[in-house]
Amino acid sequence: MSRLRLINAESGVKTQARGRILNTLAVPIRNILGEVSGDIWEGVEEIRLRQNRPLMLVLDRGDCFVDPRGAITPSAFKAYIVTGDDMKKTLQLMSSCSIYSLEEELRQGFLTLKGGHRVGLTGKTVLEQGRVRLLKHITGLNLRLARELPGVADKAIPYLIDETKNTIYHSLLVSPPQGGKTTLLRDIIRQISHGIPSLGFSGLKVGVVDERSEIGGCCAGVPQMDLGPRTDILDGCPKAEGMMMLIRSMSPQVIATDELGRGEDAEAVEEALHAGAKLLTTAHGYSLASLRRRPILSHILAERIFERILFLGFSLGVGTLEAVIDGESNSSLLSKPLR
Amino acid sequence: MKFTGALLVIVACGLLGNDVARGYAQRPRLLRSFQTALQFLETEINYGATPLPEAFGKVAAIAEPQLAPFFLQVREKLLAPQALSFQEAWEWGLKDLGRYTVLGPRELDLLLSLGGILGGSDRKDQVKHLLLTLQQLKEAEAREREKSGPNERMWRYLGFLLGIMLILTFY
Repeated sequence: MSRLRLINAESGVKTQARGRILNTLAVPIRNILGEVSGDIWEGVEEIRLRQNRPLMLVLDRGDCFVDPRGAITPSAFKAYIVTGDDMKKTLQLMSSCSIYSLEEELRQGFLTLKGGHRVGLTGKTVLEQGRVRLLKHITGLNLRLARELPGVADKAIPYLIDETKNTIYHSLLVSPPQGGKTTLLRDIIRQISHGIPSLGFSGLKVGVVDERSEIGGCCAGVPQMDLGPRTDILDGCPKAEGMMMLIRSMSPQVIATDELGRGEDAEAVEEALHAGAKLLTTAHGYSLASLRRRPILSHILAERIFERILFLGFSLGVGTLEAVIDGESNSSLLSKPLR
Repeated sequence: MKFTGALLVIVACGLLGNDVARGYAQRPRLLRSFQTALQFLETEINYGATPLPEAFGKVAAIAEPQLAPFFLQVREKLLAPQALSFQEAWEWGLKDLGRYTVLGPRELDLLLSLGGILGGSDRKDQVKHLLLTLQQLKEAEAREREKSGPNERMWRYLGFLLGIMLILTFY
């Protein structure tokens, strides 16, 4: 009985979450996607609207189109065609009818919704002195559903923490795009911020510089994801500047950022090291060799700053831990891929 | 009996005249209040980049009692899940405003055009359009003010006089 109630409660929460996502879409699309069956919805990673083109869903097992009755179909010809009005209404809903409140977001090409879902935008850019000032005539929209996966870092955590000093190693998470870097980073942050009683690890102060609002999925500065009780988050802040700001004022024990790789990042990394903070960051890449080809990263790698480098891949499914390398000795700590 | 009837006719005509006179007196005042409200909205948009529903809530708080419900109702429409566009919500609100205040179709038409603009572009553009509407409202206010003095006085008496004339003609 109580188990049944638990299941009901859980499905209630899911329906609610789904309703909240659908409420940001124009009514015709909302109605169609409302008909999509629950187990397909479970696997939805992206909802893609392109003006005058078929409505598309990206599932964990590939993409598909949606027909006007909400059934999924592999054929683009049977699919519902997204109209200009759908795009306009959707954008109005996402911006609460106030495009001007999203100028910064339109300049960067994405916005974050309540719940931490990211919306990528394409359209016509308006330039000012050669730089993008904003987007207008938005004709393409990619709603990436944010899913928290508490516990996804359980496999990786033992390689990252230094139990003798109750701290973590300077760590770099590497994966190809959509390989689960950010999801893993988020759960690592959550766990080290909470502390891990089973490993006798007590929580650390974590400062997060969330340049693209992906880690915390902040909406109006409030993280929509659980990042733990000892976490301070700077939302939408350039990495290098944000790292300095945190060091100066928030005394973080760990500084976490996403996607290292720009020129000024190297300097900020050094600064963080001098301040005694541990680094936890990610990079796009496939292997150590591919990282070394990138100028800034190769510089950071040559300095042997990172004590642990984790490679993610797809060999056993999304988020497979392919290799863990000890940065000091360059030796592998993992005998075979883990998931 | 006849006397009571005659009195009623005169009073009714007098009140009717008074009502028209009140319209003349109130219209400039209401147009002025609308300008204040829109100026506040412009500040919210330009300096705060506040989204419209939130900004309308703030405007309602400072707007005069006759206008506040308008902003609150449009705000409510925007926040409702059935997804009215801003233009639809704004037009609906103005229609209601025309019913409950002395603002006539000419004044409402000035405001109607804002429906297609508010929220639809970047800040610079919003400010430009708001300033234009403010200018038009100011001119409308001046026009109404000019008319209001003599017209108000005239209608205040005209009603009674009309009543008396009716009585004299049919008595």
